[in-house]
Amino acid sequence: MTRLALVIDLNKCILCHACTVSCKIHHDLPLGQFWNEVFTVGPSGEFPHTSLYGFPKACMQCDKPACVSVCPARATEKDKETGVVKIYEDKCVGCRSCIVACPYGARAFDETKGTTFKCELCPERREQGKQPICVETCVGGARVFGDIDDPNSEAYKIVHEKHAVRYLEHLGTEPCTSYVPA
Amino acid sequence: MIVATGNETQASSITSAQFNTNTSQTRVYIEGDEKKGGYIASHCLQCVSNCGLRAFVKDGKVRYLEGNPLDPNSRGRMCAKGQAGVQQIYDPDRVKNPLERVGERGSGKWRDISWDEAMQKISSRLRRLRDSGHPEQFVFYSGRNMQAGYTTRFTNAFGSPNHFNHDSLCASGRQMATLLTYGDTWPQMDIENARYVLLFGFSAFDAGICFVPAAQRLVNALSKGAKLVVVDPRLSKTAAKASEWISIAPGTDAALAMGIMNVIVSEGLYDREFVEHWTVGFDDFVEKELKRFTPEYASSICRVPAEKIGELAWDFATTRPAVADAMRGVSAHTNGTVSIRAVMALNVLLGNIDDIGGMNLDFGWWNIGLGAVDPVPPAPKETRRLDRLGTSQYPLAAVPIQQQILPSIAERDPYPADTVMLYHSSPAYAMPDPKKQMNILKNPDKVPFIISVDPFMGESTTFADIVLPEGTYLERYDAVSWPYSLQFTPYVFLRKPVVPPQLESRMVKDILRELAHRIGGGMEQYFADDAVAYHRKEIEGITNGPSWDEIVKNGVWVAPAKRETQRFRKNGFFTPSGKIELYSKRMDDAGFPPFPTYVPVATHDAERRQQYPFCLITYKVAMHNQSRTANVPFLVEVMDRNYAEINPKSAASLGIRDGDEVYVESEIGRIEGVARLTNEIRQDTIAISHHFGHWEYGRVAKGRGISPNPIVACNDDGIGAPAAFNSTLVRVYKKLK
Amino acid sequence: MKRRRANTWDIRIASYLFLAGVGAGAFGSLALLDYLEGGKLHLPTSITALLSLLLIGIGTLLLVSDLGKPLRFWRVLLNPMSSMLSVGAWILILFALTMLGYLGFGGPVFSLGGVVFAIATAGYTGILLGVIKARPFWNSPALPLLFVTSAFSTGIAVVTVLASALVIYGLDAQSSHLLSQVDLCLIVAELAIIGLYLTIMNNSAAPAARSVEMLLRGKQANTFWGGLIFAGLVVPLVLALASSEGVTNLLSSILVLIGGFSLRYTFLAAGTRALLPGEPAEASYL
Ligand code: SF4
Ligand code: SF4
Ligand code: SF4
Repeated sequence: MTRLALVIDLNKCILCHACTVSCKIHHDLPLGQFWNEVFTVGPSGEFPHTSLYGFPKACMQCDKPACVSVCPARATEKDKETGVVKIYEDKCVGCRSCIVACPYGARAFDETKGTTFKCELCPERREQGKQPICVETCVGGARVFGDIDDPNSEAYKIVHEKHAVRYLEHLGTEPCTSYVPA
Repeated sequence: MIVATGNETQASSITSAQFNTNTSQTRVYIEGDEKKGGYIASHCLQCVSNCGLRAFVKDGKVRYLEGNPLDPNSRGRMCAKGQAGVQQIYDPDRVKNPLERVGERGSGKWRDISWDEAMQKISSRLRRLRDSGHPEQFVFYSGRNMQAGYTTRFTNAFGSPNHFNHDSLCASGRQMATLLTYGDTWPQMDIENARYVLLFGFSAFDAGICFVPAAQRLVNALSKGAKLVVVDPRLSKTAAKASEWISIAPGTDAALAMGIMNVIVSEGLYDREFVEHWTVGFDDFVEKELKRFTPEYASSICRVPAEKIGELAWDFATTRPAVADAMRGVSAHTNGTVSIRAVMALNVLLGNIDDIGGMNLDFGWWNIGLGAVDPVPPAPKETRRLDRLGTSQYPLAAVPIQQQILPSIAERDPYPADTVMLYHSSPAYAMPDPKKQMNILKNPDKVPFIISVDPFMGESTTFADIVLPEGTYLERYDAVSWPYSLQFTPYVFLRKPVVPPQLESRMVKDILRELAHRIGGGMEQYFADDAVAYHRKEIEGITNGPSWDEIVKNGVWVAPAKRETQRFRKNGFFTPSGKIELYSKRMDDAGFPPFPTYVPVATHDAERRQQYPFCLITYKVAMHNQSRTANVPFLVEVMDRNYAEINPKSAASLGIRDGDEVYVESEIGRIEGVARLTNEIRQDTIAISHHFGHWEYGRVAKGRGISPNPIVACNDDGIGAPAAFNSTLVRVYKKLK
Repeated sequence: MKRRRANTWDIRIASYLFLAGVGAGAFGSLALLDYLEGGKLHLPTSITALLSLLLIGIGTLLLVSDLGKPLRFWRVLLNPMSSMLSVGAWILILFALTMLGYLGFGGPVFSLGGVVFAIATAGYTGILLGVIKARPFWNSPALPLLFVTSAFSTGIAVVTVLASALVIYGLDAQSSHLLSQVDLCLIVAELAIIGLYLTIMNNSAAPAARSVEMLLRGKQANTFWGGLIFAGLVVPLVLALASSEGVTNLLSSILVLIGGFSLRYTFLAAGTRALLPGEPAEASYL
């Protein structure tokens, strides 16, 4: 099977927010709505033992997506071919159940269209053989995109060699996006 | 005083439309289908890093930008500022058409005028000025220009030596220090191949002359296991990623560098062969300066424990390759140039100069040079400049001293000015003590005529007599031989408009060219070519360079050359002695400290500290540029304001809580901001970022956050003359409701 | 340019949960009484059915108007088993049909069926939230129980209001008294469930504890303490114990309704989710 996802190396994220802004420009997102954002973890610890790092967040492309099972219109699903969790804009009724149900706060609402939207790993770019824009522009090179089921992909190697971890696993969502811990 | 003598008739046949060349030239360069959309290769200029980009254009509109992977420096990556550039093109707050002042200067009352009328007014004034025999009274006051070849062509043809950029607001202390020491104004670390990187006041993850290029290479180095030590009073994003953060007392970096060198030399850890053959003044340097900077003594100044200094020295000197560098955090102090010399001397002791993983120099090679466009105007007869460079006030400075221009004009020393053209520069906002600058701008007796070429109604532009709306950097042409590739081979890039200048805006090259033709008197012969033809000649004139079509398509051209190292072995260094000058005769003769050393920050004296107990430092972030992004919605979303940052312990002693409104006050004034309590900062220091505190510029920018500049006194070291953005002492107190 | 919270479920959804509950509780309690009394209460039960249909109708309108794409509402019905929301929509329809059936034919089948669907409707409003694992504060079987309790309590309150407002309503004094006795028990039960609920949640997952914090001391504290606990439960309880006069009954019924709405509103709003590293807490609020 193919499961496209991101692996994000938190050691390499320099908190530059290029991913966030490039994503918003590319998908023409309205103000206040994000598909990807970068949280600042910290500063923690007392001076001079202060530490701080970035935590970029986007849709985890879950294997058991919490967002899908609450959709009353069958407008969102995990794509079998790519493993990407997609939204069919023409089917979405805009009830926002999925936004409420996603444990990662990964979904956003397009008020002009009245439908929900989210990161689908830049299908329009993948079609052209390019990487998602946030990956391509990531200044720290923290974001790696690929098929986490393909042992030859860089993503696969990082996941396994660097012991990437997943978040909120206890909720049973089986997220595909994983993180190399800082 | 000025008498009209020009030939009005010749000029009157000229219309502005003839000189608006960009429009027709843009579309041809789209790669792909115009309707379905295609790409245009260009280059970013949100900051000086000039990252390569590809703009996706559809139906005449830019949809997005992406990095250009062919760019050897930025390697296809772009930062948030770069990505958000699209929003500047379509910013609804842009100035739409030329404006003429109708009310008092600075009153904000304008009248719409046509380009023809504007250019007619400006050119007849300039023609009279030129004919009166005082062309030097025209001042081209620019900032990050990136087309100085063209703009100095104008001032030279006009006859004025007063063409300025903003280097002194940037890191001119470093430029001067490296020039004096190595004979090179912008040496670059080979940061990707270093195994130990020691940075002083340099946040490679926030800004820099090669921000995106250096940041990604530093991350690569770190993931290969390099050690990064960041010396900074504040936990910058770089310090946060460092193996070690040395939180130093502001302005004392040189003491630490001297302490480290003291250990390196006394322990014999330095590269003897290199020092013996390639430096002058080493023994005297050790004897007269280095000796007294024992770790204990250095520690008493910079507050870094003596053992730590020893440890740093050992690590630094025994890991190869290792490199040290310093930037604005050190440079923007009243001891900037001398302090940076101390940091640069660290590299000398390791002998890492022009080597893999070390400090690399240009040797006139990285800048491959563009073809000349004939005829070239002669240098102006008048050599005295309004920034007083080369006078006893600034005997050594090599780059413009921007903070001095308007004061010189006000004092009519060396002479008065008639017309100031502001371009990409905002003395009323971006300079220390902007009020002082503003008062001069405001006064028509001091500055009779101000033209501002600006896409936005920036703070300084509000004082203009005529505003000429320019397009943004994404609407213009530039051909640049960019000498700062971190691949260390020459490359050339071509910036192209990704859309024609929007609204009624024009690009400065077209404006100057039209003015030259309107002014006439021989000036027009230097401006036969429009921007495209001009740059085409420059590109085609590169020896063994690219074809025009090739660079138009690719955006960049990388010279087919191999990186060479230790090139000084061939012809020595570009210093008077041909060696690295630990002892600088020029400094000595001019009465400055001849050796790298620590001198205290002039304004940090004990008496002042009694009243103003905190050092104020200012910094930049990766999501905004100096003064031009506070109106960009998506950048404001990721950082929407700034704060007066204070250590929680210091705040507690002042009764200040997080989020309190506070005053930060220096000798020259006070500003009101919101306190942010954070352990990112030392107890004796207050940090305020740049980028915010606009009172004009646009609806998003206006009234958002604070600018530290109004309380920063305008001082410099008189050597490289970097404006001392970090040397002000302040006190902080709660605003009473 | 402050970051906005995700546009999620707000007061309209809380109102929907509330109205569906009241409608279910009102018809459910009278239908039960009617069944037990062998159909003697047909008139008041019919009038209540009309009102319940109205309330449920308004609730459904609110739900539909809250959709980003209201005209695509049919998709929810066409995919009945896709999600709790669709299941609920069908339960609501069946409940409405049962009430129409009662209005048309009366009789024990429809009254008993009405009771069953009333409980299902009220319970579903709790399950709708309960299945959302991301928000642990809702993940308890006690939530449907609490919502059912509140539904019947508020339903009885509506009946009481009707009884005192409509002369023709025709609810005998004995039944009326019985209902207020039941309501008293429901209020006590509700207080107890809320107390237990918050205690358990406070000791479970971190987000649930944050929710409790929000209710007791945080953003929702005013509505929780003022609207739900004090106005909605404690005062009606005291009033009911103090006297059983018509005016007090009416007043306490209105307060119970305020309490019922506050319950849906605060419990909905307090459903926060776990925070990712560095994520600001506001991001997790509804
Ligand atoms: S992260 Fe959220 S939106 Fe993305 S697949 Fe998982 S549950 Fe769905
Ligand atoms: S672009 Fe990369 S380095 Fe920058 S914030 Fe995003 S993940 Fe981090
Ligand atoms: S670093 Fe960012 S702003 Fe600077 S040139 Fe590169 S993309 Fe543009």
